[in-house]
Parts: sequence; structure tokens; C-alpha cells
Amino acid sequence: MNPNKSRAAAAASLLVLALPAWADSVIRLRCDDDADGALVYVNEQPRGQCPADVTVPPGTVRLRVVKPVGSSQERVWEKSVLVSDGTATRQEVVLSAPRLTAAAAQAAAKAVQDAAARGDIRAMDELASRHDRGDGVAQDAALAAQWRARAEAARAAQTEAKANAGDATAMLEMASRHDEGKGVPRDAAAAAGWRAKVEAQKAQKVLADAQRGDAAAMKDLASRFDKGLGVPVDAAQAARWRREAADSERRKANADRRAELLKKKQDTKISVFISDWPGWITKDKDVNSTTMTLGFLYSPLFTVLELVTTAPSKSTDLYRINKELDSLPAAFGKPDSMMATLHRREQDAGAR
Amino acid sequence: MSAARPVGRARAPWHRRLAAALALGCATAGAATAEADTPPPAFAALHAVARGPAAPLADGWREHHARAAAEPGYACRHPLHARWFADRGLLADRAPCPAGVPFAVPHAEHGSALRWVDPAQVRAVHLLFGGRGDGWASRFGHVALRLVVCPRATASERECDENLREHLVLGFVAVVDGLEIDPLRGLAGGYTATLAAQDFMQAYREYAIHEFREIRSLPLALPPARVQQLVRELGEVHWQYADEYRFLTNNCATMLRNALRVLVPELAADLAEPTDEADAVVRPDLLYERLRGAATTAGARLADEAQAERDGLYFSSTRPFFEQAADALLLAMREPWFVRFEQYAALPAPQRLARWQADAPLQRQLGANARLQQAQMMLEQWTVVQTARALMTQAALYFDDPRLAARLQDAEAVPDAGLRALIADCLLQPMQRLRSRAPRHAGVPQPGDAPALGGGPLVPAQCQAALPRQALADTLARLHPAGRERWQQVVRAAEELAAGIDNVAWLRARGAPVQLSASR
Repeated sequence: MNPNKSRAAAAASLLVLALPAWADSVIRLRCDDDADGALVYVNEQPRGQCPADVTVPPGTVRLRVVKPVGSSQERVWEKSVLVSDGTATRQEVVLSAPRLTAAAAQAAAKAVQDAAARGDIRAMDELASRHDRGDGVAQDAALAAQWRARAEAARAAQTEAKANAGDATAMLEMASRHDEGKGVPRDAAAAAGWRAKVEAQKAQKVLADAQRGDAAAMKDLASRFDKGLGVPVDAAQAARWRREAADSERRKANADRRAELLKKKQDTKISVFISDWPGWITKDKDVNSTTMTLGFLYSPLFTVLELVTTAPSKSTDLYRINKELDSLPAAFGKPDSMMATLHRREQDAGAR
Repeated sequence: MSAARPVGRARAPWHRRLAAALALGCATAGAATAEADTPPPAFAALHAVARGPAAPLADGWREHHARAAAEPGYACRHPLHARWFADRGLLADRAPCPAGVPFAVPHAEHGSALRWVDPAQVRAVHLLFGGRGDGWASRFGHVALRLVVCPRATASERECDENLREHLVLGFVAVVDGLEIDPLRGLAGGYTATLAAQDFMQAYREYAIHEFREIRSLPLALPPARVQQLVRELGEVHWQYADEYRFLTNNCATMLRNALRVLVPELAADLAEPTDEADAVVRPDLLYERLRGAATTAGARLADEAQAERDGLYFSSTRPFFEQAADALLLAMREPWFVRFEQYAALPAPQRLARWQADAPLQRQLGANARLQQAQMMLEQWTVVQTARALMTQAALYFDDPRLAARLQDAEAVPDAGLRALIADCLLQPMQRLRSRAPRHAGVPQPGDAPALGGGPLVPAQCQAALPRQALADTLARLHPAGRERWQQVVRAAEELAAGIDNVAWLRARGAPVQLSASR
């Protein structure tokens, strides 16, 4: 135990024994090292410095210990104590963290009020909070709500300015504000209007990408024209961009295939590919061509058809084409095969 | 499977046959009376191969027994039956047979034409195996026989092998009388089976080019005399055989195996089955594999596929060649409209031509690069041929409506009698002859029998004039029960075909000249 504190305790005990029974009471204010030298007030009257023994009349007394910090702040300990007649009590003083002095707090509140009045949105928010707490200003819920509303409206105005300048995020925020009535009137039409502007802006970007040959953008654009998203509904444009997308993808596939082939040797085995390309001559679903009777295919029905469709000489040309095609693929792919030999022999005979 | 048209059997009434037997067979009947009454099992098997299992055995036995003993030309008409009788000394003196054995093969203009094959010019008979295809009917492939016909009697072995356009394929097939094969009829024996003939190149075209199937040709190791006898006997089977085709239990492999047991006894041991169940179900691919290992076949010649292809014993699918051609074009074209060769036909012929005409670098390359020109020609020709097949499909559907024939002959619908006659001569009768053409004869036809077998152009020459063609076209478009839409599909297919043929001509003019013989 601190030797000084034990001597003080002994002194307080002796002091109490010396007091008459109907006299004022004594409050010993014990201060920690931080509070040492702080000013003591009893019922707003200065009574020296901490530590101190103060005599007080019986009843409730307001104790206050203040230590200035700088010019605008102070550390404070406050307590109301009920004192009985002729008693001696002890109070431990622990100062608060530094805070504005009353004058400084009042000045700060004034500064916030002035800033809020000038349109400072953060000041408006703070003033609203001060009115909630009564911190430097009157505690007033209605005023707090007013200042909050003004802050929201100011924010909405800033967002609207950005939106009008083309900021898509701001446009979406304006739509949301109009949905909720946040800083602006609740207005579904206005919200839809902002969203439409966002889609129109997106559509412009997609169009630019599509015009540069981006197949995904072309498909996106086609979909937009189908639904009227950022562009007018236009079935013809939708069809056009869908075709462009298909062509673009096909060109890319061709280019990829070309690159692949250029890396390969000519005699690399090529895997079988089952076509899914909708060739017009395979669209007929009435007959399964794989089961079509060969006899009928080889019949001279074509000769009969010739009468009513094509010129007579075409059957002769078709015969020649069939005959040449018999051996040409083998001549192309397997030059040393028997079928290729047939091809060469027939070509030589034809040339003679 | 391939198909032909059904016909009835030409057969003399029984009383005439009996009279003939009595008149001609009495001289030798005494010595063979016991045999004449009871058909021996070996004869029964032979008769079933020649005529089909359902052919009446007893009647056939009596008839053939009598004729073999008395008829000088019997061995020429019935060489298979004659072998049995000759082995037992029961054959009358043999008259020399004509040099050629006729086979009825499909013909582009006539529907069917006779191919006379001199057995002495057949160097070899092969077992032909068409590999597995995509369709359900070709899952296990197809087996047939191939006659390696030489260009002349003095031709070398190589010349005979290279004479592909005259080689002949004989295979047991279902005679399908409609546009499509009915699976239920095929399973239940609803189709008649015959031993049909076709040019080898026709078979190659169907398998290797249109269906992208490979072909293997397994030589039977037979001496020349046996080859000649076999060709004659196959002729008898070709003109007479009829049975019920069943996909599972009596298919091309079943019938060929049964025939080979009799026609090529040297293969009998390799064709024996251990149980009746195994005997009942034969797959083409398994039959081929089994015979490939037989002593009486030259299976070793197919071991080296590359050499076999040089020798004309193996023919690969042409799909990889088309794919290579498409790849070559992809590299050369500025704006190809396809990535794979099957996509080549996606663009109509006139637009393909427009693309070529707009691609100057491609045109220069076509003129300078023979291989590129070949590639382009291949794809274009293949597309033209596919278009022709599509046209045939559309036309077959169009003309298959029986109401159309009725309307075309209705005086109310076609008031002009001359036009009705034109329609009958140029359309209806040729169509009718198409459906009824199928070769049948009592034994191998002799040269004097040929005119009765039919032949010649289906469509009269006078039908080729422009006026009849236009009149027919207008009438068809007006009267078809399905309306104009179906007819327009036919016309569109025909126009596309004509444009494709023009494309081929354009390519020929710009590339290395590819000349073909104009004769058929």
C-alpha cells in the first residue's frame, strides 16, 4: 500500500472524531495521478484542487472535478452525492477522456449548423445526429428528420448530375431512389426512365462491339432487338444480327480450322464428323434415305423425270459425272490403289 | 441389301411336264426307276439352292430327271442340276453351250439389261464383303460374290483385275416392292429373295462413295475349270432362285452360305455348323471372317491392307478422301461456306458458282494446281450426285400416289385425248414397266430367249420433244392430289441438279482438263 495513502486514511479518521455531531459533513476527494491538481467544484463553486477534503452541508451535493486539456478540451469527473448529517465519506476521482468544453462544444455545434446551412451534406447528417442526441443543439427528433431529408435530397441531386453526365451506375441509383422515394419523389415512371437510359447506353456499347465483329455482341444485339432492350423492337434487325453472328462464328471456325490444318501433315488421320449443317437437300423428312431402295434409285426414273424438269442433255452429263466420281476420290486419296489405276486409264483414254 | 422388282415364276403346267417326261424319259426310266421316284438328299439340297427351299421337290425331281436324260441342251439351261446327273452318268450327250451366260443387271435407261459373261473370261470368283454401315439394315455388313471378268480371253492376270467396269457382283437380296424397306416384313419373310446381279462399280459406288463403307474381296482358290462351272451354275441360281428374305434367319449370309455348300463343295467343311441353332443364324461379317481363314480362300492376300488395295482386293471408304479434299479447299478459298465436307452442299449451286467467280485467287489456283482442281471437282460432283438422289427421292414420293395415275387418265381431268395418250406412253407405262421389271426364267436363258426378256429404252424417243415435256409438266402440276407444293419440291431439286451440272462444266473449263469417254 502507498505509504501516503495510509497516512491520509489515518488523518481522515481522526478528523471525523473531531467534528461535532450537528456540523457539515466532509467528503474526501481522492484523485489518481491523472487527476492530481484538477480543479474541484462543489455545487458549481470552486473549492480548490484535487486531492481535497471539502465540507458540505447535508443533502445532495454536486461534485465536479475538471482538468483543462489544451484550450478547448477538458477532462471531467462529475457526481451527485447524498450526504448525511455529520458524516465523512470518500470519493475516488477518475477523470474522463478529454472532451470539448461547453464553450467549445457550442462553437462546434454552431460550425456544423453553419456548414449544414451552406449545403454541406456531411454537416447535415451530423446536425441530424446532434439533434437526436441534443449534443450542442436542442434535442429535437423533428429537426433531426428534417436535416436527414435535406441531406438525402442533396445526395440525390449529386447522383442525378452524374447520371445526366452518362454515369450508368448513377442512373441505376436514380432508378432505385425513385423506386424508394429516397431524396426524390417516389415515381415508378421516372425509375423506368432511368433504367431505359441504362439499357440504351448498354445497347450502344453492344452495337459498337458487334460492328467490330464480336459474335457474342451480335447475338446480344439480336436479342435486344427482339425485346426492345435499349433499342426499338425490330424483327428485321434481330434477324440480321443473328445471321451476322452465325457468319462470324463460321468464319472464326474456318480460320481456326485453317490454323489447325496448317500445323498438321496432309496424311494425318481425320476423325469422322457427323454433319449438323442443315443442307437443303437433306431437309426432306418424309423418306429415310438410308432405307431408300437402291433399285429405285438406280431405276431410269430420272429419264422419266427429265421429260418434265430438265433438259435432255443433263442425263448424259449426269452419267459422265457419276462415272468420273467412281474413281476420282480414290485417285485423290490413294493414288496407288486399283481404283486410282482405273481413273488414270480412263483419263488417258478420254484424252486420246 | 439391294433391291429389284418382284415377278411371277415362269413355269410350264404340270400336265405338259408330265407328258414331256413320259415322252422323253421312258428310254432311260427303266434303269433308274428307283431313283426317279425318290429325290436323293444331295439332289434335294442342290434343287433348293437352284430354285429356293420352297420349290416343290418331287415335281422338280421328276422333271429334271426326265430332261437330264433326254434333252441335249439341258446342261446349258440347268448347269447346277446337270452336275448331279453328270456325276452319276445320267446326263444326255451334252451340246456345246453358248459362250456367254446372261445376267440381268440394273441399267440407267432401260431399267434392266442383259450382261453376257463368258465363263472362260472369268479369271476368279471372290467372296465380297461390304463393311458395316450406319443403317440398321447394314449393321453386320453384306456378303456377295464377285466375278473377276477379263477384257479378253488372252488378258493377263493384272489386266483382268484392273477390268473393274466389267466385274460383276452376285448377291442374295430382298426384292422390295415399295419405296422403303418395312422392318416388320423384313423380319417376317414378307420379301422375296433372289440372287441379283449388278456391276461391281455400281456396288462400289453405293458402298464406298455413298455409304462410306469399305469393301473386301476374298479370292476363292479354285482352278479355272471349277471357276467356269461355278459361273454357269450361278447363272441358273440367278434366274430361278426365290425364297423368303428374313433379316435374322435367312439373310444374304444365310443364303450365300447354303449356296456355297453346294456350289463350292471345297468350302463345305468350313461352312459346317456344330448345332442347328448356329446353323440358323448367320451374320455376314462372321461368315466373311470364317472363310477368310479357310484353306480354299486366299485370305493371306488381305493381310496387308495397302497391298490389297493396290491389288484390287480391298477398297477403302472414300470418306477420308472427301475430308482431305474439303481441307485442301478450306486453305485455298477466301470465303469458304463450310468447315466439313458434308456442309459443302449447304449452299445452293448458283451461289457456289458466284463465290468461285468472286474469288480470283481461288480461280488462279484451280488453273495451276491439279490436286486442288481434283478436290474441288470431287466435292462438286459428289454434291451433284447427292442432288440427283434427292431428286429421285422427291420424284419417287411424287409418283407413288396411286390417285395421280387415276387422275392422269381421267377424261374429265384431262379432256384432251392426245394429251392422255402422251401421258400414258411417256409416263404411266414406263413407270409401270419399272415396277414390273425383274429377271425370271426357267433356267439360264439361251441367246434365242433374249428378246423375250425385255430390254430397250423405257421411254419412247418421241417423248423427248419440248412440247410433250411442257404439256406433261403443266398437267402434273395441275393434277397431283398433294397439290403444287410437292411438285415444286421436285422442280426445285431438278433445277438445283441442273445448276450443279453447270458448275461441274465451269470447273472443267477453268482447271486441268478432265476428259471422259462419252460412250456408255
